[in-house]
Amino acid sequence: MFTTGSKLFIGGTVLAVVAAIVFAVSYDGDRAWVAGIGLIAAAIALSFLMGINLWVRDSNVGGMQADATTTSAAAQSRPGNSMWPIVGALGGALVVIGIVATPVVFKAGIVVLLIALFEWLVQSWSERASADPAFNASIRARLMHPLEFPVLGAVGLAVIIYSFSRIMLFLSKEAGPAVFVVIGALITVGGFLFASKATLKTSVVAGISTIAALGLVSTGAVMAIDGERDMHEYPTVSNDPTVCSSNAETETDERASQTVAAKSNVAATVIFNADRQLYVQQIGTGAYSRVATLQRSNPSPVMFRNLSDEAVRLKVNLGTFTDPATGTVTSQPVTCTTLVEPDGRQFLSLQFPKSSLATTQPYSFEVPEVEGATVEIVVP
Amino acid sequence: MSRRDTRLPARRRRTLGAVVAGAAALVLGGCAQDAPQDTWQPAGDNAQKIHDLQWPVFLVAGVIGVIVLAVVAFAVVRFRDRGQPMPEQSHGKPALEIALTILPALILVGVGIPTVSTVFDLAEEADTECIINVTGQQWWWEYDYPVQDGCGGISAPIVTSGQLVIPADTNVLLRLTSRDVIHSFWIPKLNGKKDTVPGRVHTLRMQADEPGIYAGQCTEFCGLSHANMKMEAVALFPADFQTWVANQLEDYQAPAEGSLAAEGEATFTANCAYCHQVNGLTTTAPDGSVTPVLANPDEFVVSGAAPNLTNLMTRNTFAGATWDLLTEECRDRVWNAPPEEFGERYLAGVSADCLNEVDLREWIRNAPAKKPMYATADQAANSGGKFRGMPALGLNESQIDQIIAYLLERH
Repeated sequence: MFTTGSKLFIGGTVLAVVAAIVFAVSYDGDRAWVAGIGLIAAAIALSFLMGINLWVRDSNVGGMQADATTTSAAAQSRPGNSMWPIVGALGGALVVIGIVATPVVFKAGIVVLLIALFEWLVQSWSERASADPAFNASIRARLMHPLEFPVLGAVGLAVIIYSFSRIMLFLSKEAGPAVFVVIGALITVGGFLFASKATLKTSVVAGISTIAALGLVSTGAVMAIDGERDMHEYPTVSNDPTVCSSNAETETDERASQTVAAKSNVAATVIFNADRQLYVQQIGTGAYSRVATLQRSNPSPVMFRNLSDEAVRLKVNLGTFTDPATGTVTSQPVTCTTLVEPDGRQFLSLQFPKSSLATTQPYSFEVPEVEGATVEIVVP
Repeated sequence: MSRRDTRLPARRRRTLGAVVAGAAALVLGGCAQDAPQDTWQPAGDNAQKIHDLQWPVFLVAGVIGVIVLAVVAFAVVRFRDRGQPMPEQSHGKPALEIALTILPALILVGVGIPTVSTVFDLAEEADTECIINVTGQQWWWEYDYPVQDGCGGISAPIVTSGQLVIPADTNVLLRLTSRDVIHSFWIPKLNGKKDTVPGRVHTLRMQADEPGIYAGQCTEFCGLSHANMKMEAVALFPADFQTWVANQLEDYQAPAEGSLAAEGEATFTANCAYCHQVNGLTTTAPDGSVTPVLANPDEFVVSGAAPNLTNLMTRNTFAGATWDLLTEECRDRVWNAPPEEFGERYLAGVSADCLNEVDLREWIRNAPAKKPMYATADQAANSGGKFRGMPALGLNESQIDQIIAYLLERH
């Protein structure tokens, strides 16, 4: 009565209707109607396809004759076992859990469900292709292997990389490199041994590799659950006027990094030289200058280099803004680097929303407590 | 086979005719004379270097391409399936394979050496004679000239937009960045293109052999009006450039009291000066105190900037170089000026007789209706209350008259 194709679409229709109901009940976001309309539209489209399939008997002209679907050779071969219903059920469960728990699980469930449906569909189709199971398996493989192998390979690689990254994040800063070296050495030695033992059975290689992969994944899972090690971020910039006004060492200075990651492509390099003079160099000019021009309303990366033999910080006066009516200072923001060791460098990202015309005192770089160590900043 | 039998069917002939006509149109399009953005007509040292590189590479690549296409076409026609038996299959011809590996490698090395050399030449900064900062934002370019000994000496910052004015026959270094999204600066006759990226400073050499105007276009899709984000480089003889610099640094000239322009100054201050800076513009409080009018585009515009209009009428364009400030006739007079007369005509600026009032008036009346922008109140609500571009200010015709009269004096 129901053809194979129509059964598939009946299932799809029911699934879409159930999903629409579950979604409508469980989700009350602003745009719930979009998903609702989508799921109902899917249900209508699937039911339409179901009707067509029933009407044309899966487009099988011979199918109108009972013999074609009941006594033909292809109809006699029994379908093999399939894991896809179970995988589909897992996907369905993930969808339901995801609706309650977290969107990531919901999306994973949808992906699993779609994969299961597609795989099951192809398997069913291939098993009805002929009466020869070997031929049926071969046409399935020809269609699916080019899809399955790259995807499985990528997923497997991603799982291994993710597991390994969890291990590295769990370990302490000191233990991490050691473990990295040991695992790398094991893989290299293992690979060498496998390669040198040409007579080694494939099953042995596969078994060892599987055990190693499972060990890696399970260790990664355990360490992911246990969490990453504590990582402290030590700011290298301060906006505290008290800190910026002096070269005295503070707690922040003790921990701040003396290295610069984003040292390329700076708008200006500010240099405090051995003569305790402050200069600026900008792209395109080899000359040292006491005036820097930085563009308005734009993040300007600035590098500070300390070429003197004392630890100092670079302070940036970000303007003095006054109330035009009363003439009182409304704000006088500053920012500064942490203490920079001799021959060290530090990095600042500055942004001036207003031109120099707007400030009653010029924007400037300065080294605190060093007379004359000032560079004016012009913001056009 | 008779002659009639060899003719193509009518349908195929029509298709072939259409393909040939299309290809001919494309090829003949390359012969256009009025092509201000033609990369094959270098007008400066840097563009010439690119031209000297791309011409032989194009020639070699073209010849190879024609040979490959001809061989493929021959194979397709000569050995097409006519029901003949499958020919004997062979595998591997080491001598041929090695030759076909070495030959392309040699060609690539041959192309690579001058390419790398040109790349390094174009990145040279040591011979810089003039520095200009270029900042892109949706959908216009700002040019600011820092204080420097270069460019013949600039004693105070100059900020302009729409037209990049440079001294001719001078090595100019542009420091490019962006205030919002990635744009790309490209004036084909003067150099290749360079992306402008927020938070980064890229450099681009610029040199024009002769005075003139060189057109360009943003070449990185940057939103609604990307296609309207044009630029023009104006090259002047160094002496004319100095005149231009002096003009840009002149003190503000207030309109004559009681004039329409004076009314325009007040209207401008009340409506436009929130975003547009006019250096030297002041306002007088009821108690008689005079304070400078300072624009705060950072409070109203996503990019935090709006064109400085101090010397608007010294430029030939407005609204991101999308429209000319000059009428067509006056514009042609400047664009087509011989090099020795170009400076004089350009420095004359925009007079009342030459003003393209139609477009300027439409722009002031309702800018978003003239240029696609994201500048209505509803749209601004989606970006923190800030506009992307100039909003409609709801000015009446009388106010527009006043503002135009005021702007006409911004020389």
